[in-house]
Amino acid sequence: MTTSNQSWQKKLADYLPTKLGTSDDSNGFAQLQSVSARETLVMMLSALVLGLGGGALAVGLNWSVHTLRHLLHGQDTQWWGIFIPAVGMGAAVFLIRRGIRDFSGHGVSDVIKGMALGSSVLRRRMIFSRFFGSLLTVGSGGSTGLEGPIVCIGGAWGAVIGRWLDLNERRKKLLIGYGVAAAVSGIFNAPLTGLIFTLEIIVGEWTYLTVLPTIIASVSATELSRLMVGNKITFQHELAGFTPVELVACIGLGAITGLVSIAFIRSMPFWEQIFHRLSPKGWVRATYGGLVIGLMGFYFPEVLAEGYDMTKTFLNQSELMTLEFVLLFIILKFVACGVTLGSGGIGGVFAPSLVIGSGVGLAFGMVMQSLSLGLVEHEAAFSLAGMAGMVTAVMHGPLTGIFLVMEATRGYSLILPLMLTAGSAMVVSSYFETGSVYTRELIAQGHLIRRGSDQHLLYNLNIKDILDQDFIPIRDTMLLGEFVGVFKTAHRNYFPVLEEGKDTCVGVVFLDDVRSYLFDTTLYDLVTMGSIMRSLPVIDLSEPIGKALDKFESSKAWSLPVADQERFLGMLSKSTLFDHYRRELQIQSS
Amino acid sequence: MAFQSTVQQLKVADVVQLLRIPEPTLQRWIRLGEIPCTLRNGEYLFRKETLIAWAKSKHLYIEESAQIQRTETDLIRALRLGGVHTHLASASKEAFLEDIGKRLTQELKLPDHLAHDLLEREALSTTGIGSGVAVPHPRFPGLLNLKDSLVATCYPEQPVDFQAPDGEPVFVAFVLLSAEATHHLRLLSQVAHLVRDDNLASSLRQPYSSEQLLDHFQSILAEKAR
Repeated sequence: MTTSNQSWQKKLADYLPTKLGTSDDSNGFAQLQSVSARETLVMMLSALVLGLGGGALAVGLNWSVHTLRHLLHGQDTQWWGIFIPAVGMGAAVFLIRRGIRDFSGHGVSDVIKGMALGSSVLRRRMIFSRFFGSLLTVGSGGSTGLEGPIVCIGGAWGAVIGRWLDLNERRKKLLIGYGVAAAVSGIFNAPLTGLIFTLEIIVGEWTYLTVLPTIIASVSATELSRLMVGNKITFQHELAGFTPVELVACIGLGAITGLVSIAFIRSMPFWEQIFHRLSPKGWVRATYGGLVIGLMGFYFPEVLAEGYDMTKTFLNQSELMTLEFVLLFIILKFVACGVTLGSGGIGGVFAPSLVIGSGVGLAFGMVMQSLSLGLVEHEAAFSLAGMAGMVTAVMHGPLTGIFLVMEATRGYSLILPLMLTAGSAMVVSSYFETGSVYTRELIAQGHLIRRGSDQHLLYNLNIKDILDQDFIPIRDTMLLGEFVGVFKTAHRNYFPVLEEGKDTCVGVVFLDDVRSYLFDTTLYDLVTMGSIMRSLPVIDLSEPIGKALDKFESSKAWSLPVADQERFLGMLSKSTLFDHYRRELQIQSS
Repeated sequence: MAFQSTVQQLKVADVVQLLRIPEPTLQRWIRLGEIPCTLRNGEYLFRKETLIAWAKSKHLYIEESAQIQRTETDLIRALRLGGVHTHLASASKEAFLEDIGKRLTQELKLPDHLAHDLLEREALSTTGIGSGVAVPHPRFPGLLNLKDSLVATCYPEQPVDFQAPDGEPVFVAFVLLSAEATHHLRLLSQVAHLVRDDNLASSLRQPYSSEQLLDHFQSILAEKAR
């Protein structure tokens, strides 16, 4: 870092006092207000910068992928076209592992993890690895989307700026959110979707510091993207109002997309396992996967890449489609996406969800039309509702599903069918799965921790910092007579017992247990502390605090010994723990 | 009753115990709809699996198996559980304790490190309390994981020197195996106080059968209480 950069950061740090009392203002409350006003201002300015940068990255990625697809257009039907995805995906994984030395995750989960565990999870190299990884994967025909990688790029971009400005962790996490909003808005040309996606899926918190700057980031990214590539409507569609019968049918469609999404979410680990058995090397797996995709694409080129062209066809030329073709497309797309992601290709499930959802919706509309004797007329409009349902169910974000489709079609008139479909899809999906495709793994690992939640509060408490050490440890061989001398000077009513000659805590003597025998001199030379202590579970420093709390519950003790690999450190009392817990809660609640 | 089900339904009282919360708290949770339950015939019922899954998702601690409820102990009960053991080795204090460990391990199904534990404690200081009586016990009684405290009455073949404060060789040992810290002190002080009574001490010189011994102690305790 250059010195000019450092002075920059110092100025910012002066401007953004972290402690009160650093400014000359004498009125404490006015001071606090000025701090939060300055904070909002700085956050909004950062959001503008992030919005422009994130938007440029999103447009850049989208443009590069489409250029590459355009260059390769027509090769699919040649015999060598089979090998293009294999080369692309193998190269993508090879480049990420060896060139950029990054791991190849799928994107959105990494950002959610960063929000939970700390912004340092999102590193600068992720911008490059996800950019070129998804460019090669999708550009060569890998059947996945750019949205997952661009969310990760946006998040990493926010974290990079946060680190460069040397902001505190809370603000860094806010910046990650702004970056994500910018990236999503930029790639969809949809500011509202960027905002909603970020708040619903990534941040999970609606306060003025999360909402206002996120709006700025979304708007600036969208505006930049419109300046660069024009104001394109993603899914142009002749909009029609839904009849009441069609609205009722939307509930059924939602349930179906919910079920399809469950199959989709649950099939992901299956594909990963298959490819893990094939080869231990990442790029070899990706090459195999690419070969499968190449073969599929040779016979059925519609499954290649993002697949939005197919969706557009569904929307505008549904009369050209047969039910058999749509169903075949859904199944092949399902498999192609699983193979691409399972073999390690870089991409997300956002685009495949939309595409599969549009197929499911169209098939549903066709079936309804043939069954309903003319009551259902707009079978293609169902594919829009299907998209909303599928996105909702896969990422457990009904608002994201509704607003994405509404914005991508510029169609407020669709709001009722979209809401109904998304609602019923969410109900069905959450009946079977507690987590979304992004959070499922994190929940299993115990890493889905939202700010202000019980887990987050406990995660932030460090046992070592809140240990009580003003007690008198005694030896197990100490006689009752000697103990009488010790307890007189103590101001605690429990005494940890250490084994003679060691640092191991073997139990705790409670004054209450001993009190009535303290003046019985016949026992003075007969009773050792080892025989009258209670054996309690020992908390190890390395264990998570939640587990320590379980030990309190199971032993019904108010105070437990803490050790670092057998070496006794001190006592942890439940009351101290909850004292700190409450303080942490007061700080984190808004 | 028409309603029959294999699903285990819990009632309010069960849930109060399972979650270790006061009943009004549970009532409030029910009222606020925080806890999954159904209302049947004016009574709230909880499906056990559902409740446990719910508690886990909220990171609540649940008492899945009820803890062993240790009964209040008294000396008579502990003596009955411990029994009377005679003709133990008396070559030395160590041989005596070794034999006690072996015998009790066999007859009372105790962990086989008992002899070692008794000797370890004895090495710290003598457990002889005078008038020919000793109260051997392990260094860490908690390691035996006993359900009930017990006192085993052990007679050596010949009196054994325990380096007791009054120098009298020990003719009877009350081996004290306590299940809890508080039991240990209570039993120990009871034995120590009984033995201070010289009449009792001398009356113990004859090995009693288990029943006689209990009767004898019981009458003395009753007399003391009066």
